[in-house]
Amino acid sequence: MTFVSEVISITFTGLFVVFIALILLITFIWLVGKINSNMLKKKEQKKDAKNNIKSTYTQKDLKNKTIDSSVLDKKTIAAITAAIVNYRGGDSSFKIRSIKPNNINIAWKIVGLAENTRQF
Amino acid sequence: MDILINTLADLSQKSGFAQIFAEGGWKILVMILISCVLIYLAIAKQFEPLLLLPIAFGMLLTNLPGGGLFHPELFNPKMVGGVVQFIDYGQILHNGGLLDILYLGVKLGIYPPLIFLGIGAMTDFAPLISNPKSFLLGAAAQAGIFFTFIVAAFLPMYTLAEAGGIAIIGGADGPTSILVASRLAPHLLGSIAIAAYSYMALVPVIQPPIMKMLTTKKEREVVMKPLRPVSKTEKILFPIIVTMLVIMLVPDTAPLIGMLMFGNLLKESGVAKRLVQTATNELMNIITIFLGVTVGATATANTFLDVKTLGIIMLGLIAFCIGSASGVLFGKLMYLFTKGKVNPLIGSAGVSAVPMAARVSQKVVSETNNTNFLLMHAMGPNVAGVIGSAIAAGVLLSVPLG
Repeated sequence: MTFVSEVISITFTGLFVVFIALILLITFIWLVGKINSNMLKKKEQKKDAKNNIKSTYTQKDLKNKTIDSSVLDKKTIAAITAAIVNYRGGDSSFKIRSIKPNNINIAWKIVGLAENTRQF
Repeated sequence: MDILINTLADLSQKSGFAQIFAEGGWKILVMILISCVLIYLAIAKQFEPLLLLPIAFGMLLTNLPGGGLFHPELFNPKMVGGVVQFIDYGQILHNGGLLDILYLGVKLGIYPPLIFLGIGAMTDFAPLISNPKSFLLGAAAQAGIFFTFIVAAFLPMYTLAEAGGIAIIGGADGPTSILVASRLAPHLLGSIAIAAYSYMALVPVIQPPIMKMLTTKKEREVVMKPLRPVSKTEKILFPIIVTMLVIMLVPDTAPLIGMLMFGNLLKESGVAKRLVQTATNELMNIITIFLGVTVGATATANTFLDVKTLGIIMLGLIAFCIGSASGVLFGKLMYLFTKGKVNPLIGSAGVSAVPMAARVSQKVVSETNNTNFLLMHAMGPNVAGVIGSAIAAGVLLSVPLG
């Protein structure tokens, strides 16, 4: 191999290898990014579906159903318990056994009514 | 009285001053002057002071006659029993000075990869991960290395190996330049390192005229869309993928790429904060001191005051200019292919002077539109250039350059 051809071949080989290596990296990084974003999307979709189910369940059951406390999640029971304890001035001597829908749709209205009709 | 006079005469004969007045002693004065100028540039003008100051002082120490700190002849290849023996460790341990022992870290290729470990632990590759096309700009900017290789190879005063050692200046990467030079042209290491770090400090001066000359106002005004967020998983997988892919492709890149990505993985994993702290602080600082002082010590009068040094300075400038220009030109190509979505100015950041080159891109674009924030987009090619220059170095080390 002559000197000129050696120099030129080293130059082009070097540039070629650098470009090929980085193009392969682009491909891999892009693929990983795609897979990661797809996985995140699926996770978010599952989370959204779970939230929808919960809210649907709550709305449905408010219509004309009695909900047994054993099917309610603990957070809901805790929140309801805390609200009642607060309403009863700290008295926690009770246990939620079930929730029955009232004729009046809005729960806050009930609380408001009770507040306004409380004895002085 | 005679004893006193004789002792004083003996001492004066052995002193450095006597050697300055001896034949060829003027070279010592010139080297001392050059090292003082470099010290001034490092302190007063803040030219890459973290490296240039140790290099300049190492140069001063080695050129003060009679110091005995560094003996370049100990690192010259010798023939022992018909076999070339490059380093005589016994000789170094018995007769070597302080800088001879410390120089082993350069000679054995230990210091530059450890510097890369710290760099990896300090670098955020998110702008590159979110826009992988930036890799192409990092690759394009390495054209400066190979173009300079051709020019240096055709100059009669350089061998192919020396041309390879000089060309790597175009990568604008100090540790890479030092590693390649120490393997291919160790006698030119001092000149190459000084040229590399000086030009890296001059990036804000060298690049803007090239960038403005090669781009139109319309191109400079391009506002790029914000980068997508990058997840922690991607940031953790990135160094692992790069390590496996690049080292399998070019095994000689293993020391640089391996340490760079190891440092980055330590940082991104979030489970080794103490190691990251050490890598970015204590380790970096220690290695920087050892590397700088010993590289500077190789710049003796015999090796530095040579027409080859002048050639290295000129070729280093050519390498930087070509690298910046090729990055911008590739940026223009991307501008055309993406129908104006890529600002060509980020191409010049493909030289791996991190983060200086990215800042220069931001500065030039601000002159056109000061509400256009291009810095993070320019960081992509900038850090890609570090990987690109390491790959280019691996190629130069793997081909037989004689």
